[in-house]
Amino acid sequence: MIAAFVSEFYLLQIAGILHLLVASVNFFAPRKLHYQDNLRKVTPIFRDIFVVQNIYIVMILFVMAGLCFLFGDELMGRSALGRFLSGFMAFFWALRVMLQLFYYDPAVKRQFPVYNGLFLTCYCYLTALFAFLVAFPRG
Amino acid sequence: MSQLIASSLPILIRLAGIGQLVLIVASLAIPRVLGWKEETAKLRPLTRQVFWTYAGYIWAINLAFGLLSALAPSWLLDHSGLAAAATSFIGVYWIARLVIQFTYFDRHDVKGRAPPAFLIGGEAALVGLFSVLSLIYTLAALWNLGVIAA
Repeated sequence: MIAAFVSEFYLLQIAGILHLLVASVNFFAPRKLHYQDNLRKVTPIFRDIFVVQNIYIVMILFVMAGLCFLFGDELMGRSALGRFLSGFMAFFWALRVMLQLFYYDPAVKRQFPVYNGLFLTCYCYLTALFAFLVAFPRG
Repeated sequence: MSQLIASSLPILIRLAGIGQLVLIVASLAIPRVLGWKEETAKLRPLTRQVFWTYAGYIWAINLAFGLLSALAPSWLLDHSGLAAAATSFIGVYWIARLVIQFTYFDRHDVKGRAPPAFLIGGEAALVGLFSVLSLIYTLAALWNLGVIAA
């Protein structure tokens, strides 16, 4: 049981690192996906909203990483709030898996198959981990 | 004063939650009012998809804040480190949103998209809500950190 607890702790540390990696992608995406060229075509308010949304998502990802690093006990079910947050993150990443599989542009996924595979693996890992923590709390 | 704030926090958090739930319902009108469909049609497919994905996620995050606050305010006020972190983050989230409203968004674009009274009233309501949310969660964070005591 102690071994299981310790392994979940390390799995959460890995999850924290993955959150940071996903957040970092948002710093490269603007150039890779030609955001500047795209956003020249839209109105200023829309451009502002797009930028703010990106910043907020990166902020959320950093916060989720922080939760993994600093509040592992709570996320594993020691507190109701922690379990709620694990449940939210399970939903967050499960939705992301669905979007990656069924919504994002297939042509781009074919163009970058390695990235697509890596992202999908990352999202599946995070979904499975947080779903497990919700289903089997250690509290 | 501290005692008044401390005793009021559970109901204030619950009201903040309801406010956020009202916001997410009202925000369903924003894409139509701001013409997002026409704007996103000008973007490349993947950029368009990223925009809608991020918009959806932010909506879901606001929903999570709202449900958590409205249904379980005690979880956010239990003096734990996690409660302090959560209320601090939500406070920063809404303070930043308030600052962005005044310092970053180019609101001149919005003129003409709806009746002026609707736009002015809508912005006043949003700013009022963001201000109240910022205050409530900041007070909650201070409570959790022990700065405000019963």
